[in-house]
Parts: sequence; structure tokens; C-alpha cells
Amino acid sequence: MLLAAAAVGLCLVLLAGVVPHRLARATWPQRAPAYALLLWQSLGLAGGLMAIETAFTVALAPTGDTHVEALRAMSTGPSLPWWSLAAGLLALALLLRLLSVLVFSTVRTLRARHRNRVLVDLVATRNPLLARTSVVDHDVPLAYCLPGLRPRVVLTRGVLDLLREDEVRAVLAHEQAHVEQRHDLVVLPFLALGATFPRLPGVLVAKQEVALLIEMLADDRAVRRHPRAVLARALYRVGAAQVPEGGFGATGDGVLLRAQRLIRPAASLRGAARAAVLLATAMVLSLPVLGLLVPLAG
Amino acid sequence: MQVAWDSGPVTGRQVAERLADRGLAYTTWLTVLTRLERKGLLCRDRRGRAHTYTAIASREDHIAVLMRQALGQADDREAVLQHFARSVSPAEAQALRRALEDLE
Repeated sequence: MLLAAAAVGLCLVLLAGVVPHRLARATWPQRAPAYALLLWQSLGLAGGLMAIETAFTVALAPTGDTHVEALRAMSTGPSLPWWSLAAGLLALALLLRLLSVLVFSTVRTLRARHRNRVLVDLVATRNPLLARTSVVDHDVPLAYCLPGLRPRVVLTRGVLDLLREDEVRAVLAHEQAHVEQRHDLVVLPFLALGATFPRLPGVLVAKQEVALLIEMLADDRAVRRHPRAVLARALYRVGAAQVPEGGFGATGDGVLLRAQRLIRPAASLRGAARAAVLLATAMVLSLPVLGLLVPLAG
Repeated sequence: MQVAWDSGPVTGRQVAERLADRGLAYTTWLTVLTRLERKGLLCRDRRGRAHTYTAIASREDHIAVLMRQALGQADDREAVLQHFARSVSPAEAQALRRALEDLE
């Protein structure tokens, strides 16, 4: 069983370290953001589950060769060594932490969103030419959406002054895509992972990549109805006009990458490659299950 | 809220007159004003026989708070709202401009 724990732990290291870095450096995700997001979701889920599983496997190690056998032996109540108990507690703590962080970060996000929406509804004006859009009277060019059940797409007057009308429409299509495809839900699990393991490089990379990929997904949706060059120009204008926040050192956040992708679109991923990504996703998801089922006597 | 911002302290009667085109009863406007007061957006004074309502913060104040929230430096800001584009560095802006010029 200790061997089993080692095997599960090794998978965990791969999932949390090597794989995210490799995936972040690959270029194919730009050609099929939706598929890449699916793979990231499976990595996040499998990583979280296997972190718990590793500790759990160590805890069960002294009592049996498989998880089932060990659990049965456990119920008859043999005395366990201290490290087994410690690992069991760690597994339990990790599980509780992940779940509670998921709940808390969701509640906090919903509250912040609600606060902002109340303000938007209070001060924004509706422009009859722009359906479903709230316009805020402020010079700083800013376009964003508040996703959720009562979504808002918000533009400042600065954006309307800065962009031509076709560019504004392309921006709105981008934000509307976020709202309609519920990209906020895609990001949610990674926020929980990020809050649970704030220093783990793999998790940080995952958060960044997922954020970039949903932007690309929304771009792709927007260019179905709007010319690519128009959206790219809007990206450039809004990005270049925003005052860099003092001391924050915010880089483009993929703005350059997104614009290049719009200007020189790469062919979208071939069918076989897409199937391979789906297969990889299924394999990643099967890892935590395999870790439980395979009897690894040793 | 609009009326209170534009013309200072107002009574329920004045709001009803100003927004007569909405076709709502005077009592409905009183309810709206009471609700805004409870939310901490208006404060109420007694002047003569009618209550007057004054906006606690100006529209600009509210916009300033909203922009602070939207541009805030909080780490989870991106979770709350999804920006179209964040600021780019001067070098990136230049690279972008050149790419766009090539296109045209």
C-alpha cells in the first residue's frame, strides 16, 4: 500500500507540476480553446481529488493491500500507527479545506458582484442604440461584464469616445459571449484550487491559462459576426488607453497574444487532434479512479 | 434617484410631478423614496408638513466607488467581473500597432 501511495503521489506531482507547465507552453490550445479548457478542468479536478487520495492511501497503508480490504480491516478496529492517523487527518483536512474554500470564494465573489451590480444599476444609463448594455459616465475606457443569473455588460463613456461604433459592437459581442457561455463557472474551480494552494506553481499557471483561454473563446464567438481586424483594433485601443495601475505592473494579460491570434488566425485544430485531446481528458479523469481500484500490493 | 441628484432635496409630491409621464401614483413614489432611504441612498428631513429627501452621495461619488471596484487591485477581481482588455505595456502597444498597420 505504501507503493500505491507513492504511485498516486507521483501522478499528483505530474498533474500539479509538469503537465500544467507543458500545457501552458503548447501552442495548440490557442487553436481550440474549448478543448483545452476541458483538459484544464479535468486536470484541476483530478489534481484536487488525488491530493486527498494520496494522504488517504498513506493512512490506509498499514491495514491492507487494497483500499477495500483496508477499509474493511479498519472497521474491525486494529490499532494504527501514528503516521497513518496523521495522514488520515491530513486527507480529511484537505477535503474540508477544498470544499469550504469553494463555498467561501463563491459567496465572496457573488457578494462583490452584487455590490457592483447595485451600483451599476444606480448610476448607469441605458443607451437605446446598445441593447442590454449599461453605460457609466466616466472618462477611463473600461468594458467588462458581471456574469451570473442577472448579468450586466458595462461600458464607460470613455470606451464610447475611444472606439468606433463597429468596434463597440465587437466588444459587446465579446462580453455577451462571457455572459451566455457562463465563463465564470469555468473559472470557479480554479479559484478554489488557487485559494487552497496559493503557492503551487502548477495551480498559478492553470489559473492564468484558463483566464486567457476564456478570453480567446469569447473572441472567437465575437468574430463570428464581426470582422477580426475590428475586434483586434478594439483590443489595441482599449488596452493601450488604460492607465497602468500604480505599482501593479499589470502586463497585457494576453492582450497581445489575443490580438496576434485575431490578426493572423491559425487553422483550427484537426479532428484527429481534437479526439486526442478528448482522450487525454478522459485519461486524466480516470487517474483518481484507477488509484483507488488497482490493487497495488507491495 | 435621478430627480434627487438633479434638483436637490425633493418631496414625494415633487417627484410625482416631475415624473408624471410614468403614470404612477403619488403613494407609489413615496414607497420608492422610503425604500431608497432604507438602502442608505437618501436621507429624510421634515420640512413643514412633508418629508423631503436628499441624496446622501452624489452620482459622481457612486461612480467613483464603482470604478474603484472595477479597477481594484484585488486578486479575485477577475473572478468578479470579466474585463475586455487590461492595460498593455508601451512595448506591447507598439508591437500591436505595427501588426494592425500591416493588416491595413
